[in-house]
Amino acid sequence: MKINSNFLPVTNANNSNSNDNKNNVSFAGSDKSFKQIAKDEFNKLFTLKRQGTMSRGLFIANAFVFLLGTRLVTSRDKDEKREIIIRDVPSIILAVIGVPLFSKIIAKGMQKSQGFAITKLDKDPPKSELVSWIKDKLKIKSSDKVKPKLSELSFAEINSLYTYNVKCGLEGFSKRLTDLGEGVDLTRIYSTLSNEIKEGIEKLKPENNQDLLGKLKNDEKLSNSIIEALKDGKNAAVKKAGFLKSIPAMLGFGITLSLLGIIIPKTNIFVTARINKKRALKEKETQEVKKKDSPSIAYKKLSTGETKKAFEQFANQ
Amino acid sequence: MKIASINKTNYENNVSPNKTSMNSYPSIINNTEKDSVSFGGAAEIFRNGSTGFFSFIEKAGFFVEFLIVDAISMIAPRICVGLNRDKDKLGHFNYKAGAEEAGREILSGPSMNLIPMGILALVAHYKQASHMSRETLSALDENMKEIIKNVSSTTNKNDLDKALAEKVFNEAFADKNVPEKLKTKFIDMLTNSSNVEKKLFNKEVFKNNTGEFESLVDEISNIISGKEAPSNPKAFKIKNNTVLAGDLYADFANYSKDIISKLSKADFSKEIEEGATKFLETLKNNRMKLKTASAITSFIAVGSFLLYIPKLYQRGKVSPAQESAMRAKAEVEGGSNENK
Repeated sequence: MKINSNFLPVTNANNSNSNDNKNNVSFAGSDKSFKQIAKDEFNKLFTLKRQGTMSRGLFIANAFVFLLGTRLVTSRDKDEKREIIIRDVPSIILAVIGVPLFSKIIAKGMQKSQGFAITKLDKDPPKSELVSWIKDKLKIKSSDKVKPKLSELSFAEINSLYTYNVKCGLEGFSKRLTDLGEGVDLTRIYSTLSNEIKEGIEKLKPENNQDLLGKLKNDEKLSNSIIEALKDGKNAAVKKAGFLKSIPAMLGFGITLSLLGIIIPKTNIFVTARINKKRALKEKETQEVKKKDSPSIAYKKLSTGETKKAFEQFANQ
Repeated sequence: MKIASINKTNYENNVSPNKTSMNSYPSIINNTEKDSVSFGGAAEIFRNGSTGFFSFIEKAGFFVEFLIVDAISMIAPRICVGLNRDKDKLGHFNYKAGAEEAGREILSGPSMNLIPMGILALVAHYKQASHMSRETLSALDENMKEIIKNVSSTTNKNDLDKALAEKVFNEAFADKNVPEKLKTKFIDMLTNSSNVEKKLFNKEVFKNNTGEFESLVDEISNIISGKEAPSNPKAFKIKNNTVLAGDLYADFANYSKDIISKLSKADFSKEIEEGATKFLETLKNNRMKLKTASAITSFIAVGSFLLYIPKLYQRGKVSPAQESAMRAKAEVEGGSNENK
């Protein structure tokens, strides 16, 4: 396209470094005003996703305010309020974040036990500006250790990670897998490709990933057969990785559904029954105490012992 | 029924001349593997089926995931409880209670997602640029501002589109020896993205084009990666933000349809750079505010609907719970009457 400049360049603020732009999220933000941080957090919370759904945090906030809020306000007694809190607060939270939460935990364990990379570890996750500001104000020292953030890989990412359509050789391809996190075992991954490859790798007796890669460098035939097998977009490793990724999703759904459908309602009933039992016991006790002081018993007391004598004396006067 | 395993490697193994097993015939029919063929076939179907199902749920997003959780754990059980309430006393299902539970649960759960989706669709129909993430909007805006510094007129929309597409490409892939053919294809695809047919209920053509663009970016990423494999070949960077190719294709089309076309229609008789820069800044701020406003509107709209739902599902003045209590009371009194 023609780049034609036939007027004087104007020196205005927009000419300066784009890093000054307030909306640039890569800015460290340690000296942003609280107002700006609050505005950013508000915008982050009040945002609709690409599909149009509310973000999960906003959804929970909405449900708490409108569903829970109205139920608490229109509840008639303490019992109902207690039931609402025990039953509805965990239900709302679990319905929104239950599946990804349990799925992530199980995926982490699955990766360690099966050796296939189905999660990724972000070793340098972005820090929340609000948290940093609060820590700064309260003079809490933020530790230098950065907690890495674990997230699940998507099915699309798994399809491309386990297919060889790159030009970097087996070593580069393997590095991309092992960089994803702990527990990735190349021996197990490449052994699923075919029985021949599995036997070839077993013969090499690799001790760990590095060892395997070193030995494969010397065995060109085996390396090439691995690469050839990986070139297929539907190779055995892709299929297994995809299946191993759907297991945490299955279990995530299963746990969330059983918690929501069975365990929380039953807990609610159990707690209510226990409270009612306690109340019934307490009422029985007060009933018995009242019975001891009732008129008939009082009269019986009167008609025995000294009180009786005193009464008769009075009557005979 | 024995399902012949379609595992290619089994066949290859048994035909390979190096294998010294007794069985040297191709053994598709008589499989000598330890696990029987029919079991293998069923397991294969289960594996592929479950992978496909959960892959669909992931693509479909939060809406479908929540729908499944809500339907199975809240809607179905509560309708059952409602239908069975006092079934022994009534002698049949308690249709009134069941209907009220159904109405309440079916109206509240899905609507919390459908209403915001409707609002976003409405807003994005008229102001397309509000449908992208803030980071992408900022990045495209910055790029656009740099472009208009070197432009003599802003009236040709196609030229502006092409300049922006080229800038995006250069930022992501410059000096990485991308073949010229692929570079041209990238720029052309982005430039034409705003002209691709995209109706509300017919997005097939657009989806196909998006898929093509994603494959192109995948190809480019794999060619330029050199010693390292790209961690996500269908993504690239604009202004320090990583974007997915498919998302950027749609975002570019929206940006072009909304902001670039308005820019090309506006008249900057004086200094183009100053006027156009201010124009772009105003539009960007407007779209950002619109994004927040649509989220706030969704929040309030969903809330109001949730408050209004009781009027929709309640039939009659007495709730099923009250009716049940009245029935129980009548039973006790009737029983004690009998004893008198």
